Amino acid sequence: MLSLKNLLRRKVRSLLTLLGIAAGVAGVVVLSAFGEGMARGFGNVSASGDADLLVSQKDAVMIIVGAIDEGVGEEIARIPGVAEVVGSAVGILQLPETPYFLVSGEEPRGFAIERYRLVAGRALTARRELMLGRQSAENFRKTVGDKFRINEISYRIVGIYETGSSFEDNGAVIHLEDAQRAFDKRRQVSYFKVRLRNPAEREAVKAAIEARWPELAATRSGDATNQDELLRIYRSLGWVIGLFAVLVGGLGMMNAQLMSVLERTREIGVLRAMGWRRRRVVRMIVSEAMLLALIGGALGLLLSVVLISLFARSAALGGFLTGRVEPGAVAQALLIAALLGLVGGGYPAWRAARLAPVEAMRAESGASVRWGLLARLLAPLLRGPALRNLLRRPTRSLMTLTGLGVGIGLIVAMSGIAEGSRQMITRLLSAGQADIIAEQAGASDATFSTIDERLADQLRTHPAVKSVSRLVFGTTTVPGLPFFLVYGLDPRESYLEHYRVTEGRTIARAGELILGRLAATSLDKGVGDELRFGGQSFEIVGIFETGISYEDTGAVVTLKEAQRIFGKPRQVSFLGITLHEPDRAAEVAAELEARFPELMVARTADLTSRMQDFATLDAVFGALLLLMLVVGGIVMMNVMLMSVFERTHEIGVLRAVGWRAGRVLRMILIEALALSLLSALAGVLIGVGLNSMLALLPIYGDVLTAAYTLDALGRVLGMALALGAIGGLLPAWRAVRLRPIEALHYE
Amino acid sequence: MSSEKPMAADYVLETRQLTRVYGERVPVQALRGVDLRIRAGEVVAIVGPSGSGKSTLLNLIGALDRPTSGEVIVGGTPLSQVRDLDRFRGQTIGFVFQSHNLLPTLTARENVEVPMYELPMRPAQRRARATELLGLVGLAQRGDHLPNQLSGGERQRVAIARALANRPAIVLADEPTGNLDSATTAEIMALLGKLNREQGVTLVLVTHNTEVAAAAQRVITIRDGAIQRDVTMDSQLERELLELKSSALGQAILRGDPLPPALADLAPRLHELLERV
Repeated sequence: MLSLKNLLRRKVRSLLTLLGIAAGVAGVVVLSAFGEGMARGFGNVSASGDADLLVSQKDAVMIIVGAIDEGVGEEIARIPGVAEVVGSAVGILQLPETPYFLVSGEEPRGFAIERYRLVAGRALTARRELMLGRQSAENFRKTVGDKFRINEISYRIVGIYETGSSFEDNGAVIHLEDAQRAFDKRRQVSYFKVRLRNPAEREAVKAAIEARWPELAATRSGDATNQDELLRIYRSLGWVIGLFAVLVGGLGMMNAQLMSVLERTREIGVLRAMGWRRRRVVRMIVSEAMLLALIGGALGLLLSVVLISLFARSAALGGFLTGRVEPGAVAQALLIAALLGLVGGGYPAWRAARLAPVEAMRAESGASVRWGLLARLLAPLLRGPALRNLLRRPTRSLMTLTGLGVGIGLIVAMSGIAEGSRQMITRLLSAGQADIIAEQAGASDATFSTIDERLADQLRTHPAVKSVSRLVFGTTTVPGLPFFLVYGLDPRESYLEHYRVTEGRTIARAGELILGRLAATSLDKGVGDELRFGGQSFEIVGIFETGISYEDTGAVVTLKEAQRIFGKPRQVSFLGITLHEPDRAAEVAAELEARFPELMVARTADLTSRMQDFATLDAVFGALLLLMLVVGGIVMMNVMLMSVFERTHEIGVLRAVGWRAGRVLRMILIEALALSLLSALAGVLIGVGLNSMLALLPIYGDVLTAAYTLDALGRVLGMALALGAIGGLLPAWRAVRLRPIEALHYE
Repeated sequence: MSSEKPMAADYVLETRQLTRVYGERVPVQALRGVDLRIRAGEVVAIVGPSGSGKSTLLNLIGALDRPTSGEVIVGGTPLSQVRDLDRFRGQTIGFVFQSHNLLPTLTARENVEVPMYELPMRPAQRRARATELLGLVGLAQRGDHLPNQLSGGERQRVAIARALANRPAIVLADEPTGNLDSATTAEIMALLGKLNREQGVTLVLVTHNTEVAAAAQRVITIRDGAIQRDVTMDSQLERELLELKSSALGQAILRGDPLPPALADLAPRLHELLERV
């Protein structure tokens, strides 16, 4: 087989191309498995088909953050046609081993507990007992009879269960009342499950429930409500990353194939002279690329199977993965690989087919340079043999630059958005005034944080504290805005001053609301209008503008109402503390943290670095960065190896005219570093451009505000240098090892 | 051949019992004990059929390769005692290759600057020296052109300027006109001759072009790894005879072809003379 033989001619190059594709495909498959697991994990939690209706809070972004009064269940039970109603209290806890540990509180006598299929021990019957998911049992090495601690309380493991939902199998089930205590949801549940006497009456019962409680939604079990939006975001993120991997890998591959066409120019001329038609040449080149891509894709798939099964076994990540590679992911991987082959092989094949046989046969291999206008303009700027060499194959340099630039750009864009949200969260939580901020210790997510509001009074008595403001923070949805942020503030506390009203007045009492300018625009609402969410209607008394998009796309209501809507009676999300001596912030924060172990107290400036939300985000970036370094490094190394390879003879000449090994090494390294720095520059441009395009998106554009720090720039620079070093060292070493006399005689 | 016995230092290049064996399992003796002395300012042509060992000899005296045994002494320095051959090569030897071997991405002037990177020179100094050298080879106006914008002869002239960049003790030229037509060959040989007369450049040419060899003052013939003949042409006459030898007429005389009647009588004598040079 000719294609295979051609690939074996340059083994290192083929291997590197293969590895690049494999790493890219594996990265995409693993990342999308996480995205899928994340989206489905949240979705599956309450979705087994054992109930006829699921009653949850209508506007909650995620079902598990909902809070409904227990008493509602008793009333639902009285609706004609209802056979049985059980409530569940679900929460996500941060354990030392994992930031996302799902704990479900179930009524032992209710039907909802039947869905936990026991694989060992018995079912839950009393308080202080716990059933552990099969995967958690494995990860934590626990079995029936062992103790398990959640929030300082010890439970006895009575059974091990399996449901098939990775999120649940990585979690635990406890008694409903224990869960209500653990999550501070006194007499509240996350949702109810309803069994009907006759499933045909579903629509009637649903209508009855929704008429009686406008803030609730009754759906068929398994119907996602607002989770569609979340699922869509996770899925599209997976595809965006996939697209970038195709671009980076595809350009790297195109480079390798182009090089292989170039060095075979003469050979292709001979083939054409012997009567090969263009089509046959194209087929040869494309099938080489496809072969590489498919082998690489298969290798990548294999790698991702290994990685996913490894990750599924880790306590921290297991909840998001089933440990299986879905058929959809296999299809995705193969599709990406095939795309890579077509993209990477198509252009070189076209170039090869365009060669005129006579000219091709006369071509020198890689020694001549033909410059277009751009290269001629750039030449005087790039001085010295190392930099000038980037212009030897302008197409190749440009493709490398674009490929790496796209990858770096993605990272720049995402870290820009992360930094933007970091800054916004900090400004939002501090309201521009707090010196230190308290969150619930161990909260996996800012929306889960619950602090007993009486702590505010205790903190106010501390001699260093000047004032304390309470903030309830929650996400809901209103028609037109899938993520609507609502802030609950006490009108007597100083935080409210931060929301400068530019129209109307600020809130004074229950039932009033001030709306952010951006939200007002997208909802087309003004002062005097009404806004309904959380089963309640609010009068818009003012429009505020803070310049912080997270605030300007949301609304402020009174603390009490926010507590009710988000199911946090007498609880708040955050406490903002101002001090008499702001310089002592770090010291006071440490002291308060020691005194109130239930709180995480941080200086405003350090806040986001201690919030679990951002730790998770950082982990995702870490993974992306690693993927980029691996794929980018391989692409870089391949390009530099080609560059050294085609200059073998030239390097011999340089050595003959007296250049020492060190100078040749330096030349190659400078070339690699220059290329990677230029890629970083391209990456910054692409990333910033991408974010400015994102900002134009309706709804999301308002929230996704990017910010760039010197620190982030430094990271990009560091990454570029690493790419240059990874990509340049082996080729440089190869160049140095060339013996001048052999290099001179190399054709 | 010279009859005097000058001091070793008079020789810019000297080889003693130079031997080079290639391969280990099936050793091939490329050079068998070559003794050679070249004085400063000489123009020497090394001729011989392919496989005779002339390229091996050039590699050894160019410090590109180390001998199996024997010694190469350049400018009084035995190469066996030089640890950094690259630096030594850069400072004492200039190379002109068969195909110009210019870096295609660099302009003519930048190509001439390449060997100067290893010298303690400021960029401005390098530039000035390169401009000067290009003037010397008659390319003062072409310094900003890329190699592919130059003709074959011009490229080779740039290569010659590059070889002179570090004021080398010897310039080694391996088939310097191998890729050129005869008119351009004459032009390049004239340039090399001029550089030898005006700049005192010592030239060692490896060639099998008799026209090129004719331009040398001394022709060393190598066969089977040993010096077969070493002829110095002291006189103009000898040089002209050599030129005759390379002409069609000379070849006809040597072959013993029938000649025009006017020359027929002279033929045996001419044959004898041409055999000697």
